[in-house]
Amino acid sequence: MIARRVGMGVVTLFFVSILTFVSVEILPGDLAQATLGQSATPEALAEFRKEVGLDQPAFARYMSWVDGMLHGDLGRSLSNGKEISSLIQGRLKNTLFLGIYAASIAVPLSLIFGIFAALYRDSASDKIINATALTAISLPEFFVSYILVVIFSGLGWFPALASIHPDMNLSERLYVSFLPALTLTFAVTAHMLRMTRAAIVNILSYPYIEMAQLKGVRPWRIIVRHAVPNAISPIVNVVALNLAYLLTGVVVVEVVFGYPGLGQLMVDAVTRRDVTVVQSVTIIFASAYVLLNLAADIISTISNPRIFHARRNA
Amino acid sequence: MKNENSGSRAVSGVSRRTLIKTGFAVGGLLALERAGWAAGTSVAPKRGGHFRAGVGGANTGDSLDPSTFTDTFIISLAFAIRDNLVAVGADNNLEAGLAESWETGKNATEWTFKIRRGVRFSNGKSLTTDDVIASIHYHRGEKSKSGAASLLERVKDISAVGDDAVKFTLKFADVDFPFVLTDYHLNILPSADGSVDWKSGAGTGPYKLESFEPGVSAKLSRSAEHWNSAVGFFDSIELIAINDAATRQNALIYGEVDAISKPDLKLISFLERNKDIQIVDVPGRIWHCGIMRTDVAPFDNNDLRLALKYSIDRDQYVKKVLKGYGTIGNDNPLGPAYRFHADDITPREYDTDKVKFHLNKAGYHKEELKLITAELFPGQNSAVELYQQEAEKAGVNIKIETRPTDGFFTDVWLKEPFQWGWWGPRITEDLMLSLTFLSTAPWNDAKFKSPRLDQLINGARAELDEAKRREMYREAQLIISNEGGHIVPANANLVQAVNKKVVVPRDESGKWKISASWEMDGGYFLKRWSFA
Repeated sequence: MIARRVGMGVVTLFFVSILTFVSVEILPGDLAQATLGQSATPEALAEFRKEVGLDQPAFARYMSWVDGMLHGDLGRSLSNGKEISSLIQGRLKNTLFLGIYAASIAVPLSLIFGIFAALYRDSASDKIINATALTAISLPEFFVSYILVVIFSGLGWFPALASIHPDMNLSERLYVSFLPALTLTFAVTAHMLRMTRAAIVNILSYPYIEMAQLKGVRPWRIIVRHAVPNAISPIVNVVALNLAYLLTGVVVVEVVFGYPGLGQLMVDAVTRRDVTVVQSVTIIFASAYVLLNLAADIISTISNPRIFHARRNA
Repeated sequence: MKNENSGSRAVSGVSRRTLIKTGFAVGGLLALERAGWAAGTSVAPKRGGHFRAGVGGANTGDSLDPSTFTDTFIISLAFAIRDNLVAVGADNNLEAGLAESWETGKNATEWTFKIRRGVRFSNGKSLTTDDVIASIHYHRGEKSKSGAASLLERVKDISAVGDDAVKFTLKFADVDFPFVLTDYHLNILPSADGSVDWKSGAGTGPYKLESFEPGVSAKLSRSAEHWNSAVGFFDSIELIAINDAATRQNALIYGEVDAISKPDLKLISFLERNKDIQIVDVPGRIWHCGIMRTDVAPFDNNDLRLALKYSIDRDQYVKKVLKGYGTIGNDNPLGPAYRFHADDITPREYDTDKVKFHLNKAGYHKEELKLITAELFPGQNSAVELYQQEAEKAGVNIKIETRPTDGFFTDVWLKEPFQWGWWGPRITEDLMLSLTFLSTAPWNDAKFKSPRLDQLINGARAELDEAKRREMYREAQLIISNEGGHIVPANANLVQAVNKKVVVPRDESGKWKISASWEMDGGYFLKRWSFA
């Protein structure tokens, strides 16, 4: 089963790469125009295209990119000739750092509050948690960012500009990128929290929970021992989806805080029509989705004895 | 404190050393420096400090290759670490760069530039005429992929004269040719065997490149040795790429940078109210415009064009669209930032009677005029709506069609009969006019053809007598304003915002004394600004 899912993943990535290539191709203007500006002469444009290989037909350029990709070579950025792998490496590290930072706040927060809300459902605290979550989810990220900047930078606590450097140590990084991480936390917590609450509430209505209650098991124990293990599958799915979002959906947050991550790189590459960079970044984003979904599937399979054992016995 | 002391010691040390080596050059420099002081900067610039600037127009695809420069970040960076032969001074006149002087013959087709002696690149190499020729050649010829290639098409040949001068032979007379060499592409680079080295970042500028991550940031430190002691005041600089205007503004407000380029005019009131921040602006050469194609109906009728020119409220445009950071335009591109701007011509005013008169004469009966727009500058679409409402009051029926910004110049510009937009700055009258108003110009977007105008543009380019030139450009402005296909309601100022700790030069009357050739003091702010 896993092999089939991996195969599907590869096919998905292949289609994503074609789609991206075609999308950038049909955007008006090209790299030469974007790089040399409006006053470029036709000869200069032609020379530039020849130098970076844009004079080749689109299909040939796509195939040479795929060929390089299959050999682990992402090629060079068309606009400044740097190796794409080196361009991406630092950026990917930054984006992963921000994603993990946000996840390590958001995941525990949403699980704890989700379970708490489920346990005391329809109480005042449940309603407050729900209302807060709904508000957070309905505000666009750039708006949340600016609000956070006004509050926290206004107080002088955290910088409004998350310009991190490779030579910063961990505590400096954590400090400088606190506001973008908090913005992302706002964006994903609500979704995970509400899903956790719904899953637990659903499980709590099952007869075996009632049985446990009748036996006099304490509410927290019911949740931790009986409800959570059975709610893992839906929760893991929504967590995986949100983790993927943390990596791929950071574009706005990175732009607002000037954070040098993959999202910024993508925006820059699209404005310059630097198609090979756009494709390479897209493939990374798409792979993150595929891998995380795959991981979610595997975890929910393992967590569900019925599916797990049925497969093994068959 | 400590930094400032060591900074000034280093500099005086340099002056002394250089003095021994090349007495002549330093004499000239001291004169330059004195001129800078005398020009009335209220606070004298002091050396020292770490300057952080948040600048837009940055891209991960940026490189140090000057043939690909297009925007503010890399242009500012390059002007800090390199020099051109000639620079645009803070007063918008020509200023000596690596060429200490220049001269031309009677007909302005041959220009000789005397190259400064004793100048070294930051890699230790001495500047020679070979470097100058190779650096300019790099942007010329069939093999060139440079954005400056079109600018240099006028150059027929470049040759060395002795070992300290370079001669440019032009295809036609051009009185303003030295201005061409101030273009941000035309950095002088070290060369070997005729090919230039742009990769290393070595240059003759007052700053040395310590690190550069495209689209993120660059770090600079002051060179121990620099030929021009009148520039380069900071000890070190961090140039930070911030493309989002609101983010730039936040970074300035919360003290994370000392200066920013292009604040968002919609939010500028926040900066104006902040007592730690000063807005630095100067009339720029950017012009906003409605473009009417004079070769297609109904815009081939000059009465209709005049009616459309009378139906815009220019005061309102400057106030609402530019938030006051601009000057009223008179339907021609040569605004107050140009040397030959005709300030004796009163700009056209909003006048519904005149609109009706010209509409009648044009035989216009409220037919719908389709105006195409895109958000090419922030607030463009609302600007167009403002115009539509004013025109409606005067009896003109305009229908707006909004298009995406992406691809506007591929799909709409030079094609549609009536559209809104803006033109970027050009350093001289001639570059602007020959680009858009010569009958033969490929970018004549209003398709306006006037033999008299051609004669004036081509004539003024070769005219050495300044009074005559001024008269020619005045007539050109009248022709364009009265008959041309552009509605020019306003010229936009170049606006930047800085922390009050930063000293931006002012003239005697207290006005900002910064160049209008590009944003951020013509891209020279890192060279010319300092801390108090």
